[in-house]
Amino acid sequence: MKTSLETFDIELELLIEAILSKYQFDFRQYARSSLRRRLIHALTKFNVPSVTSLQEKVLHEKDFFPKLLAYLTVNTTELFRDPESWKSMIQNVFPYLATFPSIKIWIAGCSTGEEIVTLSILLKEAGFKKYVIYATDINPMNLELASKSIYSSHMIPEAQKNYKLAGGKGTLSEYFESAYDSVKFSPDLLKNVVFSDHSLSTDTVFSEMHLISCRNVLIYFERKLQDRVFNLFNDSLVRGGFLTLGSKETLTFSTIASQYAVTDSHNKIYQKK
Amino acid sequence: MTAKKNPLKIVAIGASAGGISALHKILPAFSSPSHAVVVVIHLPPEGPNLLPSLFGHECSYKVKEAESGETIEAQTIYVAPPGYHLSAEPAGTLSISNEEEINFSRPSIDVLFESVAFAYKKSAMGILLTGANHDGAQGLKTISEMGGKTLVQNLKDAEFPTMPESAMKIMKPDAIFTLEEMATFIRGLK
Repeated sequence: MKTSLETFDIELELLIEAILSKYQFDFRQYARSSLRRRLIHALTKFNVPSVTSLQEKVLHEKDFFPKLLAYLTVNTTELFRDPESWKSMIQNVFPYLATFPSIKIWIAGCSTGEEIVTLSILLKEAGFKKYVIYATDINPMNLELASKSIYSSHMIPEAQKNYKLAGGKGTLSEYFESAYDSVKFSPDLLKNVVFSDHSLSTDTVFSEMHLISCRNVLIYFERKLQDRVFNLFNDSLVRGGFLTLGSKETLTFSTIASQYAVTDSHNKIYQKK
Repeated sequence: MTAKKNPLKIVAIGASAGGISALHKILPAFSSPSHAVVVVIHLPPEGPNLLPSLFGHECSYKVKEAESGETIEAQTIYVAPPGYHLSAEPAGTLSISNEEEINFSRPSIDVLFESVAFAYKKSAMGILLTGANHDGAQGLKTISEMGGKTLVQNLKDAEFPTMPESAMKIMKPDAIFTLEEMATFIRGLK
């Protein structure tokens, strides 16, 4: 007889299979410890006694899965997070982008959009006009939130500090309006952004990119899926195109490493040879 | 995806206030050929992780910052990167995450201990050291419930006894050791 803790693991694997069969969302290559924590969180949130009860809802309640999806992925993100890496991008990547008449950028796993706002502001201040940002996420609810660019005003002091550290030229408050506890960033910042749901575990290349930014997404994937994603990025980048990752992610041990030059090892910026 | 695929045994160590000097006393004691060590210590999230260089030269195990997706190898001490949770995976790998703080901490000792309990079951050992908060107590309980071994630092020996004490309130550890006793025990691991 298994303990209830071990039974939890069995239920987790069954739920992953149920989600795959019913909704074609593939979590099989997601790190289990994080999924387990997300599910424990979801049990409390939806007030159900077991993962099996969640599975029942996933299979039989029409609108339940999108709600659960919000709990299965980690959406921690900040405006101007890791400012040093943005500063490095301005110095090392922007001059390259400026050599093209028009630019395509992919933000993979854009979550609730803070990174899109960050990059849009920096591109604007650097004088870029002709560019498209493809912002993708597996969760349509995240894309919906990202397209509104409304954030809690609690984020602002930290964001203002990091905006300066990243090399922001003006004042951050030029870009948003405040109302109660929220700020809304100017819709003008998102006019070159195309939102699309895209799964890094099952979907394929959709355009040729000059820059791909994928931060703190790969840490939740097992090696095999990490490799899939790296190959997907490799197939999507033009020669000379750049890939940037989160501060604790690296291209170094991947199967495509030899095809890239390290532009900034500390800030995880790589250029396709 | 079961513990059978993980041939080595894992020791998870959690420490908070007073933890650096405590780790100096026990990390160098590891010499067994079959163990790997994962460590969470609460530190400010900014700045580089100095722990690998701090401990590297005095340990016979290799000391490194944990990277997401890497395979856990014996005779290695993996330290959580500041600002990220560290977990052991059933597949025998490590993962890091920037999920929300647990017990006001990221990395959280509970997160590490619970992941190790699930991934390594009977082959897991948890060691909870000095600290001024309650992180790690719940996780140590889970390691025990999954059949693993649990050690806590003797309250009189701990610079800050709150952390080991909160564990002892909710579970019965297999042993309560001073750092010196712990080092002797670790040297005897096969």
